[in-house]
Amino acid sequence: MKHPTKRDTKLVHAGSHPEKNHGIVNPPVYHASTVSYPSLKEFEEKRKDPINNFLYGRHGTPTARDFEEAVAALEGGDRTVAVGAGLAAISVAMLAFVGTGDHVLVCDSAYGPTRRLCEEFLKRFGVETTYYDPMIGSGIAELVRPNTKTIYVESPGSHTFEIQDIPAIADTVHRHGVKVVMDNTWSAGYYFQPFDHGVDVSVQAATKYYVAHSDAMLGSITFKEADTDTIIDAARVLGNNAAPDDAYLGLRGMRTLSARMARHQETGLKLADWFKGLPEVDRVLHPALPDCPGHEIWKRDFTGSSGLFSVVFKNCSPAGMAALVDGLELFALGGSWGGYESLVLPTNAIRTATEWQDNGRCIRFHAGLEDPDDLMEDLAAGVKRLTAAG
Amino acid sequence: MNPPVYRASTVTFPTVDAMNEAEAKRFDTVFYGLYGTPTTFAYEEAIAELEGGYRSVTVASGLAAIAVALMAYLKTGDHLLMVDSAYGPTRKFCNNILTRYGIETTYYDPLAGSGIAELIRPETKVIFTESPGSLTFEIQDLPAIAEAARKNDIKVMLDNTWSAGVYLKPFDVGVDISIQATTKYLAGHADVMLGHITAKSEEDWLTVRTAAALMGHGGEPDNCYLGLRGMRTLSVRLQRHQENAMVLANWLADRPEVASILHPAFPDCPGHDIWRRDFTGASGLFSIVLKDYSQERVNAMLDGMDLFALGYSWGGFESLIIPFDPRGTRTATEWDAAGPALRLHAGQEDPGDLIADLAAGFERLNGGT
Repeated sequence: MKHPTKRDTKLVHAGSHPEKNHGIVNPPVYHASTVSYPSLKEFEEKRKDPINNFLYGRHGTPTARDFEEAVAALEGGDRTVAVGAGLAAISVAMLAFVGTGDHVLVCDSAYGPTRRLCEEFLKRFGVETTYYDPMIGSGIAELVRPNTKTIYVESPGSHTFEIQDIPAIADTVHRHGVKVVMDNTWSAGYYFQPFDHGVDVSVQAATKYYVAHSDAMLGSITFKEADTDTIIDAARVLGNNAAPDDAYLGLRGMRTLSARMARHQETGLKLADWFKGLPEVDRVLHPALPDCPGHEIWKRDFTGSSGLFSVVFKNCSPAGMAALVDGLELFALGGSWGGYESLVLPTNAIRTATEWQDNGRCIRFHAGLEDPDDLMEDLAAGVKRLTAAG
Repeated sequence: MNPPVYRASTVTFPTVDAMNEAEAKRFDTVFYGLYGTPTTFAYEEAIAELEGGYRSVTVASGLAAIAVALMAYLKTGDHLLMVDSAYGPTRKFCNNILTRYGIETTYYDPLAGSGIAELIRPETKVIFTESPGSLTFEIQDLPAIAEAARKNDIKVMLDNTWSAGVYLKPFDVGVDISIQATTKYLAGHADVMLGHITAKSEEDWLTVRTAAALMGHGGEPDNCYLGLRGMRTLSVRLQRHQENAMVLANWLADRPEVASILHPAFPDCPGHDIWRRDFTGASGLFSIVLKDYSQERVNAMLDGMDLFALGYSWGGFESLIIPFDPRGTRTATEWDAAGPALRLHAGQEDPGDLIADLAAGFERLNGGT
């Protein structure tokens, strides 16, 4: 196996095994359920190590394994398990560590469906959730209880972009045996190395920057050796797995991640700076700009920024919001992000532990791979419509 | 003729109003890749029609379908009645996940019938059935179980994979939720992991649909395309599976090496009379119990098979064979067989060739080379 050390080299070589595939650069797409064995002896032997052998399609295929290997290498974990969506990755990572009577801490800035998982699902199974201020840092100590099993961090929050002090949080909760589970989708594991900052389990919606063409749902769960059995058992017993075509597209996407991320970053910063200079704008929530809560932590812990950020306007009526958003030509209105195309989405954040007054005047943008001047022109016309609508 | 394979995450909208409208009916329209595309909707529609239910939900495997269906209805403090002949991973899910979340499982005799009433408690929410059991082939008296369940407001779930929804109409025998490992007969080519949950009523469909969405389960487009593609040839394939399995089982029944045939169409099979009453046919999966042969002889038989592959799952075009031993797994019933047991899946091959392969296998079993 190759052992690349630099990020961009890993992206090209990790999970690559031409020697196993007739010299062909990319892995085949294994469509599999039944796996057959030449003898009962081999059948029994392989069953003794179900995690490292291909026993059945539901336990993964060599296609998925190559994708998993590449993600683990990029994120710096020991192993990755691929599942059918980012949300599936989150639910497996949460269910793996908790049982009835346990308690989890979830950042107040978490992705909406994560909150819904806690409120409408974990609660039914006797697991209590406390939401905490994403800026809490080592203050998290006050919220840890004897039955706290997991703390969920999402840095930055995917609508409101608070950067969390993960090393401080991890340092505090690890003293109580609490696992740190992170949603690392924004950095794509490219601009943030979770395991260097105290994270135990890093989850990504691979749908976003890995697949990156808005054409597949895929999730990844990356962890250290010690948590292998806990997480793989949970994924297996719940029936989760990644479809081979999707795993193939995820790995395919990773091969161009470095070039794409550089462009997403560059264009994202250009647009964010441009917004910052507009009189209509109250603040720009982009981790690389000082307006963003946790900007100093971003400078300390991250090595770059991706293409997703939000803008809070000073005045924005519902009519003004609709005029801006509905008339955009290049920014498509839609959920998700990380694809080649620019996107726009009004922010509708739910908060229970912290104040957030900006729903209705906050808009999230994803900077795609288009020419930034065309994007700015589209946005300038939009801001004009916003002002005209009053 | 066929739907396109829509590969989707982001779905775009012309206006904010249009997006909000789509979100309000996110399970009925194209809103986000995870919640479905025309590819997955077409596939779910075909399944619901085949099984005779209100609507279906597609997830990533048969086991995921079982997990989602059970977690949709159960919560901490509830009680589940699970058939003792259930698929191994279903049992593992109950013992591992449900136990951890304070849900108690009682295993019951697959032949319990209306006697299931004695096991029902105030907190029993679901009776899970699998008919026939996919290793031991007990056929359950679903109408009798359903009647007991109805009196106590309990949901009846069925793992209906063996009949493929063709030979048993679950909602005609009192089932509320029918589950299949679509991996098996519907996909039919051993190349897809896929599961579905079909609900009898709109209310039950919404409960299951919501749970799947909360857990992040969705129908994968290429797999759903292959699932629907497989369904188009299901009637001819299943007919061949049935015929071949009957030819093999009849031949095996006359062999001196065989102690009993566990095939629902054979009188040896527990619940055979119920099968005659409720089912309209048999698929290609059945088991045999051998006379008292040593493990070594059984290995010699199986390792040398030419056409029968050794491997999990079933329902594909190919013949399969695996040994199994339910002793140590069962908790509510005893497995007391004369000798080692083998499960066979009769594929689409010429049955004469399959018989020749088995005949050569029996020679090895008897000590020949």
